[in-house]
Amino acid sequence: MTDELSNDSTYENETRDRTSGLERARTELKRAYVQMGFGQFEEASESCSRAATMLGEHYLPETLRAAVLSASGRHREAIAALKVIRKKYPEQALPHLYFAEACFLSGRRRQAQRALNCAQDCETSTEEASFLERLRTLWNQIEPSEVPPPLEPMM
Amino acid sequence: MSNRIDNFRSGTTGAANKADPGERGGEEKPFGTFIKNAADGALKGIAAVAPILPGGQVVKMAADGLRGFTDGAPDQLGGANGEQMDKMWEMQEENQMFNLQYLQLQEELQADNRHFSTMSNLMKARHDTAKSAINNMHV
Repeated sequence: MTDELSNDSTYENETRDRTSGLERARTELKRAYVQMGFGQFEEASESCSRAATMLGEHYLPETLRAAVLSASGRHREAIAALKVIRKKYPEQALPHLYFAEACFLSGRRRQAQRALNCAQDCETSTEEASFLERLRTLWNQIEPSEVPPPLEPMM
Repeated sequence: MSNRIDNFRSGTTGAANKADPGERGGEEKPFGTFIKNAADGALKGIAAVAPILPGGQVVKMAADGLRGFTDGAPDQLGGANGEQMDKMWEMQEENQMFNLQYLQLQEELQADNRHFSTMSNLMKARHDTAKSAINNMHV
């Protein structure tokens, strides 16, 4: 009986720890997103790293860190990072989408289209599906010559 | 923008304006003279045909009267006011040119608007995707 109780409390503690870890990681990722919006790419990347430490094996912190790289104009590094994430989590649509975007912005149109197709094959949330659709629409409207040049690295 | 105005002038209406006198063998007929001749011809025709029709005598007299009026006052159409008519004609052509330019500008604005709207929608979708991914994250 005592053992059962102690097992229960251990489980509860673990769950609580996991939940609070998840919440803290979520906060870090939100922070990273806001920092990215303000152009604080270094800080955003650090926030992603902290979230990754809290979450352990999860695709989102790494994916967001790659998105930070892409937003700061470091498309090549972003593509390399996203390649690894796509291989590790092929069922997740978001790494495919960010990869497609980074490819498109660095002039790799075909690769971008292939990545979009991969994202379409994944199970997507409503938001991801909408993002995918909008990317397709925009790319159909923009000529390759009209694609803006990559940003100058700021980090 | 200034290029386009030049293009319009030299490309379409302006070229047509300059070409016309040459095509007529160098003789420049003011617009007013042209109208006067045309009106005179029409009135002459009406006066010739009117007696055949019943009660056409009155129409003939009226047409002759009108012709007399124009003959009596040649300057009213082909003189100083004729130059004004020519100016009006030119202004009308310019007006057409500006209308064309305005139309082109409107089309460009619409295209820009469409682009802006697409970009805005994309940004929103991008933001919503990241937001929902973070909020729905689970271990």
